[in-house]
Amino acid sequence: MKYVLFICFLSIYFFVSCQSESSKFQKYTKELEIVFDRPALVINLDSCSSCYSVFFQSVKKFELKNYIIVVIAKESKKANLLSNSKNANVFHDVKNLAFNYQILESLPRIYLTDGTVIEVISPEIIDRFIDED
Amino acid sequence: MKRKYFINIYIALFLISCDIKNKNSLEYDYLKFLYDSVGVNLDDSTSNEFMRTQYLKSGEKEFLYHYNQFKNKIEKFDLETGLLVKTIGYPNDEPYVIKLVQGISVVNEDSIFLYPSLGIRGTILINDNGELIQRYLPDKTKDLEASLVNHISFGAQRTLIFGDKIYFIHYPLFEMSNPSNINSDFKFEVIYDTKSNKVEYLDESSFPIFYHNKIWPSNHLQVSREVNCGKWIYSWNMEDSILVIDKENENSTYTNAKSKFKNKEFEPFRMMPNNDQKIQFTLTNLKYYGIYYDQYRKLYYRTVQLPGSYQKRADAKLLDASRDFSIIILDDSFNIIDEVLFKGGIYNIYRLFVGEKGVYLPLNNPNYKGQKEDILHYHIFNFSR
Repeated sequence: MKYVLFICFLSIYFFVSCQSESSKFQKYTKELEIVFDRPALVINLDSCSSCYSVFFQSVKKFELKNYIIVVIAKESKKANLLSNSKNANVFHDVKNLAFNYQILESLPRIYLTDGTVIEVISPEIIDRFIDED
Repeated sequence: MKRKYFINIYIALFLISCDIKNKNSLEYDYLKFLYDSVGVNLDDSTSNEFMRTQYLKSGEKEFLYHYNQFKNKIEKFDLETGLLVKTIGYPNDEPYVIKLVQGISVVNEDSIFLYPSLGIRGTILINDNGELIQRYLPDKTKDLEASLVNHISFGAQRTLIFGDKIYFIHYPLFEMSNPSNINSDFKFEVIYDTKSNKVEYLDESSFPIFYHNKIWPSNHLQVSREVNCGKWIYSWNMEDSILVIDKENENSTYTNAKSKFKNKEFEPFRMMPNNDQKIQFTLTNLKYYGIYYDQYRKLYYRTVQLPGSYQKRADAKLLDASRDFSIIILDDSFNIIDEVLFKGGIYNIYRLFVGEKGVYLPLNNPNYKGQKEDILHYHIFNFSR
């Protein structure tokens, strides 16, 4: 009985935390005027100096799938070097609104419409996500 | 009773007046040392971060080299005009691929070193045309973790070359908040001998003794190093003195280089801090940052970040950038000549370098509103005037 209660508690906890991550991202996308109907990759080039070099190839693959890409960078030039905002699925957050919603720490994340959040600690995680999708 | 009351009020007024005096005494005096400025022109593929740079004097010319991660190339700027002289590529096909360039060293126009991240193996030396001169492959170790060298190779922890040896400042991969790790075992200076192909460590380059077995935030455990005339100078974040190792005379001494703005001692944590507590410590305590030698005026500069403010839900990077800072000026015998106070939120203290005209400070502080994407301005300060 104790274990059942514990598992129930854990499930509720994860459900609530997923909900809160998801709802924060919903509000964030609303503020950036993004229609969040597909997987979205968020990457911060200002807080992660090596992210451009490490993730460039994988971001391009993500872009080819027509998924959403949000690049956080104070310089719009820098954001464009990773993903050009002329592409309808690419958005730039030059004011770092992501910080207010606690969307990221320093490494990128993939947000899915079902509320799942994938921590991207290496480019292989993006590649694997694309392959499995 | 009345007398006691009167004494208490007197002491309180005295303390308040001291506090006001201290605050008032913070007069920014940096502008009287402002000597010149230069704007470095940035093309469409160059960010104004300018993190991995290296100064070089060659004949009558001065250059600023910049590793541009967006181009995978090195840009060479004329420091007088700020114009791009040339863009230098480097061999980047197998087996020479450097997946992530950590930094560069420029010995002369035809000797440019590129260092891979997290290791020494694979370092390459190229010339001004980007042609490979040498590739360095120190012996592999069986233990993967032992083969990792978490070197910095830019800014105040740049990599230096003397003779056949390359000197790196590297950081531990272990948990730095764990007090049992803070001892004299870890050596911060890694020396790679290109002739013998061996790696060794400089014995004296371990944590200062007063750090030992205490809990500190890792952001306050950094070291900066400068080398001049056989003397190795180390500036630790929390050490008022600088360590001077005289290689020729085989002695090492701590010499006073304390900031006049330091008004409280560093207190270690009594219990393991959480992330917010670590950030708060770093932002609200003074921090000695870089040590630099000015070969043209025979002066040393020690940069100091003054205590700033902490807000729980604010961006720590922006709070850090808003801190006032100072530059302690020392003569070549390490006597303090002056300490100049700078206003925070304008210059980027982490990107300082020294040239013939003086100290170059870029106006790319994250809080500075006047930044442009097509030009990076440097203000040049001459502290010998």
